[in-house]
Amino acid sequence: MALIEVENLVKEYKRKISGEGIKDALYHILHPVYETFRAVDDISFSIEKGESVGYIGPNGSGKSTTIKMLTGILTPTAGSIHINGRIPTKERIKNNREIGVVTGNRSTLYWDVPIIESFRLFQKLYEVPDNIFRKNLEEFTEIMGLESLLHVPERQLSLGQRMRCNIAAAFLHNPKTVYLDEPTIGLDSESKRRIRTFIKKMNDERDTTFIITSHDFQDIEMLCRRIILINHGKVVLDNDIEKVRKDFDQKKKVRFEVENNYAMKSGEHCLPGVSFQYIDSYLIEAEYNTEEVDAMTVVGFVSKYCPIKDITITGRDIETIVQDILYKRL
Amino acid sequence: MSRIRHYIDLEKAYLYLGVYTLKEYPLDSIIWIISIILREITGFIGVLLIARSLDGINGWDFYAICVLFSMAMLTESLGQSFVDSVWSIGSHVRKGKFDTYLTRPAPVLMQLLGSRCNFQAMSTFTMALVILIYGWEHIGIPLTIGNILFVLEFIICGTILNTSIYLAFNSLNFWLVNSGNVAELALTFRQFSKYPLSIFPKLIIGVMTYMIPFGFVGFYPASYLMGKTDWNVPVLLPIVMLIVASAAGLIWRTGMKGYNSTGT
Ligand SMILES: Nc1ncnc2c1ncn2[C@@H]1O[C@H](COP(=O)(O)OP(=O)(O)O)[C@@H](O)[C@H]1O
Ligand SMILES: [Mg+2]
Repeated sequence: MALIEVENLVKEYKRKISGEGIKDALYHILHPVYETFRAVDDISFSIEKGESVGYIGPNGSGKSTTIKMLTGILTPTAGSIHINGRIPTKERIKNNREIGVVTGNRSTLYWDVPIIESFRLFQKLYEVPDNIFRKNLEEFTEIMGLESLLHVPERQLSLGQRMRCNIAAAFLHNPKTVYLDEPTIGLDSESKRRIRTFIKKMNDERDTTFIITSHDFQDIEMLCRRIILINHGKVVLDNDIEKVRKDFDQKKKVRFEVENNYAMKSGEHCLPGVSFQYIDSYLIEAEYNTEEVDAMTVVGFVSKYCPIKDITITGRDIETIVQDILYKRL
Repeated sequence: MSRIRHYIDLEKAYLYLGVYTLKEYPLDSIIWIISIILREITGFIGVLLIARSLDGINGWDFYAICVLFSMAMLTESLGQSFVDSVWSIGSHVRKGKFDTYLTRPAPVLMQLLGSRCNFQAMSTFTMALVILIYGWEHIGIPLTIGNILFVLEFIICGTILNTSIYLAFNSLNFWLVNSGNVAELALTFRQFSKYPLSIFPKLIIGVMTYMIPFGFVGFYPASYLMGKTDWNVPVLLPIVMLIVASAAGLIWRTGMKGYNSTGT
């Protein structure tokens, strides 16, 4: 059995309908009407130990709701979750010993006491032996740059510093799995960089499984080997990132720097499978379909008309691919 | 067994954080202490004035009222010192703060109660002890081992009972998310516990004895000490405490289950 098994997971929220206009509104106070809203709609996946999964999708697609069910905060409306064989809401305390949870914009540390005191409380809470606690603290302090932060109360730290401390705190008890819901939201680039390095290291060296949601595709590209894309509460795509790139990235872009593109622009020359764009008089961008033509043909074609000074070939990044999948531009 | 040791260790860690917080804000603590002492004193004077104008309330003279008032204050101040965060259930629900507690390996209620200590309230606890001893001496309540044990029993059971009533009321916030703090209602009822219950109409006596038994955090134990009741309070008190604590626990758990299913 995989570490995380999710089968036909459903979560419905009840929402109060407030009527339009005063008359309706008053009526609804006395006779509340509820509509049910399916935030997570029949989701299944399984995750093995040591995997690094990006759980992505547009705003309101049900990512946080899924994470809350995986971590035992919310009870599913239907379907099942097994984490290491346990149902998180049924064996809450046992499951919680083996997980770490980080939510962006929300701190789990104590506001008024130095960070190290919060860490010591967590040591007690998770019953971490002294030697492991010390070793982890030392290592995490180094990677995340916490030396100068540990003895400062949380209220005196910046958002980025606070989040670094929170993420370190979530790993102190050597959890098997860590769930990160938008951990880098609103952070400075220094904090983002440190956080990424840290999470990657934990996954590489300690085989810590993690699921991360993020709006920042750099997080996903750097950290995850697999993505699960959801939209309207349903899984749209679940695959290795590399595989996704190969499958969906049949379009590549070549950018030519030329003396002058007038000869091509005015001639309206075309090549099947390629679309040309003229940015200004020195640049030509060609987007081509890798199944129809290869790069050499495109280069040869352009060089017939204009002397080429420089070439760059780029694939599209995961963000654009995901946008294309979601909005069916493929 | 090792579980219990673990929870004791954890509780110590929470208390330590409480002390640490206290040290962080020395000035705040002093202002806090002064203001709660003033509040208690004005409350006390109010009760005394009423007693005076009634020429002793129903056979309760000045010293008897000292004993009654101080006993009610003992449980209240002890609760404020250690478990005042029952009062933050409402804000925890509104801000979704239980999410964090639910992902940690300890009972949610324990984490909640550990999240804030107001050791400053130990000052009013001390004040209450002084007033109790003062009234006790003047009335001439015998200083027997039985009576001393009863006071200890009262401090423990009374505080748990008091906190359980607050827990029950505060747990209503799980259902009434948008309607202010319904738990303030409990404080209104508690006002009655400062006066000898016997001066009130039967209905209020009934409510304070059988429904929201604040009578057991002041009136009945004080009456027992002064020989003003036939009730066997040392036996009744823990029974009432157990019943109320179970009921409060049930309301809390039901509320928490709702939180699990609806989110915030
Ligand atoms: N407690 C709640 N009650 C009602 N609706 C909710 C609640 N929490 C989230 N929703 C709705 O469920 C949908 C999914 O929310 P969420 O899981 O937070 O999305 P994401 O994290 O992907 O942005 C949204 O439409 C949101 O409005
Ligand atoms: Mg979200």
